[in-house]
Amino acid sequence: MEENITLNKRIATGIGRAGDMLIFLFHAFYWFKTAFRMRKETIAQIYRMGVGSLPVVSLMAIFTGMVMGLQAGQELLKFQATQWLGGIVGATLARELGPVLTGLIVAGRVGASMTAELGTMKISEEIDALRAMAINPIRLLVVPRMIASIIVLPLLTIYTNVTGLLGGFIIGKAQLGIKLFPYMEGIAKFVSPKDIANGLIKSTVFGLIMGLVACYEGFTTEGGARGVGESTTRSVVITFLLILIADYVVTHLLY
Amino acid sequence: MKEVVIRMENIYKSFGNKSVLSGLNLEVFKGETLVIIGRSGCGKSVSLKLIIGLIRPDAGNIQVFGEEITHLTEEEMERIRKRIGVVFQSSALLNSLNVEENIALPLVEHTQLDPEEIKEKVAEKLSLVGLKGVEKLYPDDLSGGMKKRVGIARALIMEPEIVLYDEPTTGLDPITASAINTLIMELEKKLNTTSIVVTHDMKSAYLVGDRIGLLYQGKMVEIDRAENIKKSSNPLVIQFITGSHEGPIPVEEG
Repeated sequence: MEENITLNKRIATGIGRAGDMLIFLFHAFYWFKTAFRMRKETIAQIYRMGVGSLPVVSLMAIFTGMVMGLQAGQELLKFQATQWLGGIVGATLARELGPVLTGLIVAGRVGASMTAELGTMKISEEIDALRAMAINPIRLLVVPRMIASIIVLPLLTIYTNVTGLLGGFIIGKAQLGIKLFPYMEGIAKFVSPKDIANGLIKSTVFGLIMGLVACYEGFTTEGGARGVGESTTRSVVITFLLILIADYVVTHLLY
Repeated sequence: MKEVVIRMENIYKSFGNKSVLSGLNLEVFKGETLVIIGRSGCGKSVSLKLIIGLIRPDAGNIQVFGEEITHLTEEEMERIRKRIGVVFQSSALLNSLNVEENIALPLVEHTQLDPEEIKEKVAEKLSLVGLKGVEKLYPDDLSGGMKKRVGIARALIMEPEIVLYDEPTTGLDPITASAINTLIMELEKKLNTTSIVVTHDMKSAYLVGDRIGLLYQGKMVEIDRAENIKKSSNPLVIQFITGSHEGPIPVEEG
């Protein structure tokens, strides 16, 4: 019985927070009208998130491409169809792996740091101080971060796709002796502009999810250093889950 | 009759199950320095946050500059907040900005002044709080007392009519604390603003306060001129100002 009560309470809190997050999203959208005014800070955030993420995204992308080249290459060899390798690696990356893996890895890196930063500002009264100075903290802190997230993820996804294809080609050439031209031809044959566009739509949605969850969790942080740790963890876990759920939903809607 | 700039009527506020304010009444007159004393967690800081609308009361009315603020939206509230300066207990400087940018932030956000004018105003406020040559330092590089001074300079940058100080001397060594007290007194004389100082430091209270009010169990139990508070016969006041663990206020509470 007692377990039921705590469970009910947790479900109620969860629903409450989901509703809060939605309201937070509407507030943020409302303040998007100041996007032009906040351009300097937004560009700084884009630079920080984008350039800062390049090393880890590069490693992730090249190894993902290589493992696909390895696995798919072995199978294709059995059917004498290695000229399809570029197409298979390209389509998988553009449709699915590019946006999702980039979303997850950037959420782990950038989302976590955004939540920790904003959470620390919350508990050290910096956000209260902004409000007391009649400066809207959503405009000053959330708008640049959310817009930057929405812009950065698609850009990094394109970068992942290209780098991943390169990884696939390296393995294709080294292990299967595939030449560049057939590899490219395979890409052209299998990867449609629609695949690329859909992948970018996905990553835009993932960017919105990451920015929203990271900022919301930061702004609702309470209870000192432990609170910052808890909200950072929650931010990453919730972003991961929402990205995977949104991936299914968006795929369903687009195809 | 003196002009009332802040009036709180029958304020109730609780967080979860914990009732913090229960029927607080308070009037602050134009030009005075009111010190609110009380134990940690008795609702002193909450009262300040209510005045600038950072939190809302569960019940009761708050008028600032003659305007009822309890029903104002966040955007409407900004009009009031621009006329009030707040010095936070932790100073609450933005860590990612240097001293100059911190103090200039309200000017950058709310005025059309050009960078040169802003620079001038920042330097003026810094010299007012007794600091020089710290413009390019970051909050992490400052001592507690310096942070407090920068926090005060930031609170004054918009030339506010009311300044709220949340425990301005807490956590400072006695010499720095005394310097901050002197600074608050000097500022009151120079700028003639209305101030509320929240503290549990009695030395500070006597030094800066025109009137002193004791907040206990969510209510103002006594509020009077500083010299009368010293002579008060109220056992709660006597226990608090003498700092005794024996008396009607139990130690565990609060």
